[in-house]
Amino acid sequence: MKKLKFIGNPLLQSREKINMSSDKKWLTLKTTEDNEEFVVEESVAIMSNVIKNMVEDGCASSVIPVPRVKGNAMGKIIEFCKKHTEESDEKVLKEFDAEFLNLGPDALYDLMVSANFLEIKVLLDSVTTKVADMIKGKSSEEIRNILKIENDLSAEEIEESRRENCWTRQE
Amino acid sequence: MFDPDKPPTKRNRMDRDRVEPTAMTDPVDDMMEDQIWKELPEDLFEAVIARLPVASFFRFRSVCRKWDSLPTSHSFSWQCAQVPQAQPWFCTVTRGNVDTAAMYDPALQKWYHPTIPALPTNINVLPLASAGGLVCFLDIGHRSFYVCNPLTKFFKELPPRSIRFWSHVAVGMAVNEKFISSGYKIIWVGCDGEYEVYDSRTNSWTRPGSMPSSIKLPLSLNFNSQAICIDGLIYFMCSDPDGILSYNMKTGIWKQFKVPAPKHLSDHTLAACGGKILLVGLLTKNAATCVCIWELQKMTLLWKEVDRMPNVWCLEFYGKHIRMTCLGNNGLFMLSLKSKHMNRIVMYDVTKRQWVKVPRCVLPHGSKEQWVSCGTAFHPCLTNPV
Repeated sequence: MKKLKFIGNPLLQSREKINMSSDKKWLTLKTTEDNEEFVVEESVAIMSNVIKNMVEDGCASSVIPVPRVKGNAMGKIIEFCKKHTEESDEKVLKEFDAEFLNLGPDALYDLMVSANFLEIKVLLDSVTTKVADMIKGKSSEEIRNILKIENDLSAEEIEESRRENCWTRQE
Repeated sequence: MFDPDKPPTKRNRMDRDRVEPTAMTDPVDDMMEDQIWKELPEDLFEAVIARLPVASFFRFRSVCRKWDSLPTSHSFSWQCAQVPQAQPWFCTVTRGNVDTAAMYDPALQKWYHPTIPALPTNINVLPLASAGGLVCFLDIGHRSFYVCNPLTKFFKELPPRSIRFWSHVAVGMAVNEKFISSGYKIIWVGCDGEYEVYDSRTNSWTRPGSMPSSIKLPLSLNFNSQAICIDGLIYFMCSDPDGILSYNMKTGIWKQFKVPAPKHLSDHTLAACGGKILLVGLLTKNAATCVCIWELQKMTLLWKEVDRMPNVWCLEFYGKHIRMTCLGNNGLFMLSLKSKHMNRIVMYDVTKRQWVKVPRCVLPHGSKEQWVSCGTAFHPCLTNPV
C-alpha cells in the first residue's frame, strides 16, 4: 500500500481535488529508496536546484523520482523549504533553523548529504555551519579520530605548523 | 555522558591549550563521536571546513597533508566563495614595522599578533589597499609593491613599475569578479597625473593612457585617505579643487567630481558602505573635537552629516590636539585616535550606526600599548590566489 504524504491542506482527501481546487501548482516527489511520496507546492520544491531544473526543462511529469534521499530526510527537507518560502523575517528563520537542526547525528548526516544532492543552498549552508560549530573546539587529534584520517605529517611538519599558527591561540 | 568503562584520553599539549568545553557542549561532543562522520564525502567536509572560525581552520591544518594544502586547493577555494562574507578583519602595522604587525577580529573583539610575520622582516611596508582577502603593501621607499594574505602568509612581490619615481602615490585595488581566483587589479596614481594598472592575470603593469585634459594637474591627492572601490570604480580623495577622482577599472575612464569639504575638517578619509560614498573626519571647533560621518548626496554633490561620535566620548578629546587614522573604509571602520598622552581605538559600524570601543593593542608578553598608526581592513580568506 503506497503511503501518500500531503504537505499542505490536511482536509483534502485526494490528489485530484488538490489539482482542481487551487491555483497553485503541485508536484509529487517520490523517494525511490523507500517509495514514499510527498505532495508539495512547486514553489517549495524548486528551492532544490535539481528539481527546479527538471521542472524548467519540462521533465517533471506527474511523479518526480528522487533517488538517494530517504523518506525521513525528504520530510524534513520539505518542512525546511516550506518554512523558508513562507517566512521572510530573518530573525524568525534563524530561530527556526536552530530548533530545526536539533537532530541526532544520523539525521543530521542524512540531511546534509541530501541537501547537497538536491542542491538546496540555504539548507546546506545551515547544516554545514552547524557541523562546523560542532567541531570548531576540537583538537586535530580528535578530528583524526572522528574522520578516521591517517596522520601523514611528520612530527617536524606538525611542530612547524603549530609554530606558524600559534598566533591563533593567543589570548 | 561520562562513560566509566572508557579509559580517560591522554591530553596532549594542544588539548591543554584549548578552552575547556562547558556542560553545554557535552551533548555536541557526543554527536561527533558517532561513526557516521567518517562516511562523509570530501566535498561536504570541505564545505564544513570553509565555515570554521579562522583559528579553528589553522589548527586543523595539522590534521593531515591534504588539509594543510587546502589554501591552494581549487575545490576548497570554490567552497569558501559560497560562504556569505563575514565581517572584515583589520591588518595593522606600527610605523611600517612588519614585526609589530597585528590583526584584529571585530567579531571576537580580539587582537592577534602573528609570531611569524606574513612578510619578510627586512622590508618596511605600509598596507594601503585590499581586495578579495589580499592586502597590498607598498614599501616606505615607494619602490616595490607586495600583495599578501595575512592569514595564510602567502605573499608575492609585484614586478617593478615601468615608471620609476619615488614620491607619494595613492593606491586602489579591486577584484575582477566576485572571487579572488578571477584575478585582481591594482592602480597607483601620482600627483603629476601619472598612473599605472597592475593586472594579476598577466602579472604586469600597463599604462592604459593619460589623464584627460579636463582634470587639473598637478593633483592634490589626499594620501591619508585610502581609496575606495564600488562596483569596479576606484575613488580617490583630492583637494584643490576639493572633491573626488574616480577611475573605472574596466573602461579606464577618469572622472572628477567637485565636492566642497565641510568646514573645520581634518584627518579625513573616503569611505564606502552599500554603494554609498562616505566621508569620515574630525570636526574641530574652538577646543571641541568630534568624529563625524558624512554621506555624499549624488544629486547635489554635497556632503551631508549622517552621524557623529557620542558626545560623552568626544569630551575626552576636549582641548587636546588629536590625530586620527581611519583603517578600513568599507562598512566597518577602525578609527585610531591619538593625542600626546592617549590612544583610543573606536570601531564604527555604518549599517548599525554603532560606535564600539576596541580593546588596546598590546604586544604579547608585554604590557606596552601599541599605537595603531596604519592599516587596512581585509576579508579573512582561507585560500590563496592561483
